[in-house]
Amino acid sequence: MTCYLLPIENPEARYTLHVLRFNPETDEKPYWRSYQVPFVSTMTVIEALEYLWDQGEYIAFRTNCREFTCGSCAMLINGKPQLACDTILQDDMRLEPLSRYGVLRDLVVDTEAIKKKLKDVKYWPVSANREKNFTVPPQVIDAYGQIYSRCIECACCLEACPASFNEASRFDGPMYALLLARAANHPLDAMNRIQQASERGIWACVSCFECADVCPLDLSPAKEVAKFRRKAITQSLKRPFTFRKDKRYE
Amino acid sequence: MTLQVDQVYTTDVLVVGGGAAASMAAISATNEGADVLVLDKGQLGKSGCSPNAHGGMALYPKHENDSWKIHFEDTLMSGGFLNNQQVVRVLCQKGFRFVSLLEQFGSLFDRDADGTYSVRQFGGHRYKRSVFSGDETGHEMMNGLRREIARLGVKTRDEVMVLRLLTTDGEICGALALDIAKGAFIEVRAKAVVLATADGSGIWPAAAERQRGDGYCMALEAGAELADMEFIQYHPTHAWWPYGVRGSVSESFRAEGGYLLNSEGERFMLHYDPEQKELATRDKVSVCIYREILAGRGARHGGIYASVTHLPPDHIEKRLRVIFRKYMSYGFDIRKQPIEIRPRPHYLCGGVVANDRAETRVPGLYAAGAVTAGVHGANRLGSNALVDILVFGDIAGRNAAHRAGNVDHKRMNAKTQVEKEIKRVADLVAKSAIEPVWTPILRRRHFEMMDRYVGVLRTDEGLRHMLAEIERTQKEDLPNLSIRDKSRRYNFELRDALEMQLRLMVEEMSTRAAVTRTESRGSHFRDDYPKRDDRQWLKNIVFFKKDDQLVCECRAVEMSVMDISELPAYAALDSPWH
Amino acid sequence: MNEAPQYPKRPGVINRFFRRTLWGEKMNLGAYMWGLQRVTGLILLVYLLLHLYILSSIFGGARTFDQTVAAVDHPLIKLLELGLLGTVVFHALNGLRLILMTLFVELDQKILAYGLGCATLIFVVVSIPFVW
Ligand SMILES: Cc1cc2nc3c(=O)[nH]c(=O)nc-3n(C[C@H](O)[C@H](O)[C@H](O)COP(=O)(O)OP(=O)(O)OC[C@H]3O[C@@H](n4cnc5c(N)ncnc54)[C@H](O)[C@@H]3O)c2cc1C
Ligand code: FES
Repeated sequence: MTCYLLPIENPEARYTLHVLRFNPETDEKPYWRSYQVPFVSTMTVIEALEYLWDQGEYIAFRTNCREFTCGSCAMLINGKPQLACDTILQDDMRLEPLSRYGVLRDLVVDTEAIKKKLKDVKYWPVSANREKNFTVPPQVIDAYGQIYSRCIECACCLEACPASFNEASRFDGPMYALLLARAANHPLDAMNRIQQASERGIWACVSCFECADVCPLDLSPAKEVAKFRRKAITQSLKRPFTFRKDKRYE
Repeated sequence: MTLQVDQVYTTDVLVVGGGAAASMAAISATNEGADVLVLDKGQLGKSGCSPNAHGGMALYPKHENDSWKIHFEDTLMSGGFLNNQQVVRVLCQKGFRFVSLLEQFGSLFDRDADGTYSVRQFGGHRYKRSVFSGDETGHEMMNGLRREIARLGVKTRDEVMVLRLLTTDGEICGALALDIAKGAFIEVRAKAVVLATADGSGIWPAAAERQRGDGYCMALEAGAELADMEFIQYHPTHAWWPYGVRGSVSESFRAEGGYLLNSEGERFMLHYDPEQKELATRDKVSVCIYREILAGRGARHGGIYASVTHLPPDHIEKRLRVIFRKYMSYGFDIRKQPIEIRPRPHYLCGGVVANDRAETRVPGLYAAGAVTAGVHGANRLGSNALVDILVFGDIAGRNAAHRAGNVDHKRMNAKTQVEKEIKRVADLVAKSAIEPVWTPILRRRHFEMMDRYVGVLRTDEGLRHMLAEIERTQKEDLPNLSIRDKSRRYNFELRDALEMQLRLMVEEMSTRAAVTRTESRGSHFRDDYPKRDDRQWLKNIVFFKKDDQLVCECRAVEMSVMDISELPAYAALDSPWH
Repeated sequence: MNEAPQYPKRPGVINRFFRRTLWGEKMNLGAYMWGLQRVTGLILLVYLLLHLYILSSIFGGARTFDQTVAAVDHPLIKLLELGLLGTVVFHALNGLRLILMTLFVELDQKILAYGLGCATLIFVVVSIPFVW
């Protein structure tokens, strides 16, 4: 599927691509390197990087699906977190690894922290009796179809969030909020997700909607945060003194 | 590169792979009380083609006349009766349980107003029976499985490529793996191994480009048999233009009522198959499209047009949201414009021979998912694969856990195997050939040739040409295969080169099987033998290793559940497709 | 990973946003609003201290206070006063906008943001005769 297919229209048209490279074994610090790639209309950054592989420049980057369903190719493109397989190549693009996580090589970052945190927030439906029958209201199906099922956990929104700098921040980050909302909407879930979200720092969100802006799938985690906040407010207005004591939280 | 094993794991069940089959096997084995380790070449849940599967899973017989028997017949007819019938029976009977199981794990699938699952029809199915979630069913399925794996706390290692299965006295005792992240070797001692490394469609220029078929070679080396390697299914509607759009335009595009049009704006499928029209089986549609293109009625960039412009726009946005969004990001509005598609390789139907208990010929080696043969026969029915990986992932996990409970760890007696494998890697790294051959160049050439000669329309001449090329590559190019990047961490060039060495074996098996089979059946269509020949070729072509030599054998299919004569209408036909 | 490779510290959030704008990737309106909210907040803080300082001259007696007030009575200061008014109104309305957006999720933040910009401007213009 790589460049043997490249229908090169104009061999003269060459675009420059700048990549921040770093090999922990040989390099002391990262350095910028520029490459020339032929340009085909609607060619994506992934294809440019693969073209470089074919030329023998093995820039390390993760990719799998090339159709934005796996979320492994997130990187900073011109400083903006984007999926490489979803970004059409332009001249003078700058590629960097995500800055929130440790860099292992070139554009590959260490995402173990995400896995750990997902475990921490219990992003599966927490339920005492999982075998029970349940009905699902149509709006939940719609919400899943339009929002929750679509998150590919690419970590672009985490990168863009000004309220959550790293995995140790008080606010976990937009992606986790969205996944919590997903779990909260699951018909089997019996955990008090509103309180959990409060404890996980949704009140630190600055509502800048930057996460919605960078999301490659046009989801809006900030909206989920707002929904959580609204629910928390209405809940505590209804039962002003019980909210904190509510022990449905495992 | 350190040339010794750096890390040794001991576990009950080792699961190789990271797609849905591997996840399901890991979950079942953990539930049975075994100690499980999952090794994945990519990142768990983000690698493989499970998250990319769009369409649906055929497991919910919603129509009152529908039953497992009809699903079974559909599968057999599509597979040209080459399927392993015991396996297909299990698939059709046990499938429906898994939707609710996945929903317990955290997925949620589309439902109708009355609360039952929505279903859609795929090509070759007689009834609507595929449960879906928009057109990202596989992704939603992985969402659930990934959550369950996290909940159970299954031990997983990402970016570890298994190189070889280790055997002692013909029984599995573990595996040797290369940690891509660190460039270190890992040895795993296990009582049972579940192989779920997916098919080898990446040997062709396919959408699932990462599936390079190393699972096949590992199983073959360990002593298992491979069958049906000639059946590479071409997905008829694969994104072709605009250029950057990747991946298949899922079958839901046709299932929701999309048309295929040639350059004269004519629904040409009406001529080829007036009954099923666009929803004929994939093998047939692919050949029809190729015929149209060869007849000069192709679209502007060499594909064929596909259009949903006649459907209501909100229906498209809801039911085909991934495709819609995919094209939208390139400035293409599928609500208003037809797109250009072309058949591309999609799924290699063959693989490791496993029985209905997911056991292979090697004691202790279980195979599940796309890596196995037998379920799909000569042609996979759309949306059967996702059921296959769930059902047999589950069975393999369970049986592996049982075995682990009953046997003890073998004394590891595989030193020569480990050394041989480490030497293979070390040689590759250390080699400085005078006329080096680089992996990408070799891979590109073989991509092209496999697509041309072992593609949709095959001829004896082309296949033999390919065989000669493979032989030449093995003799001349492989010894000179070198890598430029000598570092240890994330050395993707090394990974590709290691895969390159293995894929030639798969190419050879595919081509040899295709030469041998002098008929057309399912996705194996030969221009020189365009008819199905049931008298001679109701046989599987099986490969195995005997004294380090690849042996090819034709074996008659066992009709243990249903004989072909029970479907007289089908048996009377001599068209390769159903 | 135990033997984590050495990698220099990566740019912080503000630097990141700044670089991104420099390289032609525009940010979302909300992000600029967030930045403005921070900046106006800081201005208000500085002003508050200044204000307290000026007020504290009360303790020096009526004459000192009059002197201070006379020193401050200057057209430039009046202009600054107008700016301050704009800052206060912006900050307050933006805060209100955030609350509204939390309570009514479906609101369009763009309309709100432009509306609040206009409101601030109108407020400042209308209050020119009062300040002078
Ligand atoms: C675009 C597309 C659309 C599809 N649509 C449908 C559909 O609508 N309906 C349907 O039923 N089916 C569909 N399929 C087919 C289906 O998705 C696959 O058959 C199925 O997902 C295979 O699952 P698996 O778990 O066996 O393998 P995969 O999910 O592919 O996983 C294989 C795993 O093995 C790992 N691996 C490989 N080699 C090694 C190694 N040496 N060591 C360690 N790990 C290794 C890989 O990293 C990967 O994680 C589609 C496939 C594609 C590509
Ligand atoms: S490669 Fe899968 S999201 Fe880009």
